[in-house]
Amino acid sequence: MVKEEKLQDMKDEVIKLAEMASEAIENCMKALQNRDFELSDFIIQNDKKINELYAEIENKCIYLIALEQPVATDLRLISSTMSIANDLERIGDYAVNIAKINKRIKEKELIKPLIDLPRMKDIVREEIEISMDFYKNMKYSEEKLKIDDMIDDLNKQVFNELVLIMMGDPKTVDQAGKLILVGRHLERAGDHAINIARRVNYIITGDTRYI
Amino acid sequence: MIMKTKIKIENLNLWYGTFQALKNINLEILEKCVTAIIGPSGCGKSTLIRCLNRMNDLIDSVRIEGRIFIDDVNILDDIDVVSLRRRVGMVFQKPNPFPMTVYDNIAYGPRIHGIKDRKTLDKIVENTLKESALWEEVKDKLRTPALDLSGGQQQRLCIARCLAVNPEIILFDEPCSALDPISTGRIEDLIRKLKENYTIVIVTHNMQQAARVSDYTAFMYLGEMLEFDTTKNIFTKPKNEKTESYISGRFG
Repeated sequence: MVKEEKLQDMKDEVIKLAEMASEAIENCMKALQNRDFELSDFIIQNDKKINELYAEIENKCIYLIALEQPVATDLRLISSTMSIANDLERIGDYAVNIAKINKRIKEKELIKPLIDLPRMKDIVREEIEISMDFYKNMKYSEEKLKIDDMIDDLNKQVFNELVLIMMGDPKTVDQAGKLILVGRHLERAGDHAINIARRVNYIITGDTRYI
Repeated sequence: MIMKTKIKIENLNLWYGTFQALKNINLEILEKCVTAIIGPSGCGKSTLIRCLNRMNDLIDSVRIEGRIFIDDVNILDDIDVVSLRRRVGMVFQKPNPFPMTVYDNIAYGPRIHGIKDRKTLDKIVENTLKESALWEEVKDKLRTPALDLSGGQQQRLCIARCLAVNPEIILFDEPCSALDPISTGRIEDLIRKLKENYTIVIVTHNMQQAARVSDYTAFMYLGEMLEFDTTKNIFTKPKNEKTESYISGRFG
């Protein structure tokens, strides 16, 4: 039998990783909006800590599988935790990508005020929060995941708007292309948050259809 | 592949005196598959497999109701029990070779069933020892006492002895609980190999062993069969909460 404390210890680390990933997403957009390159550098540096914690969680899961021989729900929880930690680590990587884009845009003024991209960022963070609430409390609601449609819609809107700007002024192509990528990264980060929720559904039901 | 049902247990109830040890058991065991029966001590696992070769007949106070079909014949009817026990062999928890030579242990059964020809017996001994993965280790020791072999070898000898009378079904009652991990590994490999030709039912307390060797698993609790499914399903997503608690080590 896997001791409850050991499982809780593993879960606590995942919760910590989620907080770090969510904070990175918040900061990378803050840095872009405020043109704050120091903050971008901090995110890039701090990603090492995210990666380390991810590796530590994976190691813990492997030890639990090897030494405690979990089955049924315990096994689904531990194996899914490896996948969830991987999703969170990827979200951290998207934050790094956005931080790098901020540095590549350099001192140039932004071609448009950022409105929809920060909205997307807020939804990504909300998705992480929802998924982690599912994970902490082992519950699931398909209804709550509909929020992801908003990210997709906003991403399309951002894309169309930036294409129009590019068509109007070819000098904006470089920066608009980068901002399109920011939208893309946020949209992918949201998908990873949704993956986490679906994994929790699998932990609860054993149903592999939606993972 | 369509699997054939080898053993069909229908509404089986069993009492030791006034104590009901098996409660309305229904189970179908497929041919050439390994079926594991798991459950906490005293849940009726051993009682159940002892019904399959009528070993419970040896206990006076036993009363059995229900039906057990092996190839469509109800073995609880008035049948030839000796012939049944030839068809349904059994390997016990502790290796129990007869106090005679390795050779005689295996030749004992065939001799009882009327085989006297030396060459035929030699062939049976060699074949069954090969089948039970013991031949290479004992081919030069056929005339030594079986009790001189190691525990793991003795257990494989008991399996060979069981195979010598050409059974169709082999019952294993905790076959590895007295063995070290290496001998256990050998017996498990052997069980996996034997299922190509035999229908196997194994009772075990070792969850990992059930998970490793069986195709189907039945979970019993307080004389009832609470869940029966493929081993994969039982160990990854059991339906019954009690099964889950037991296999996760939360009780039992």
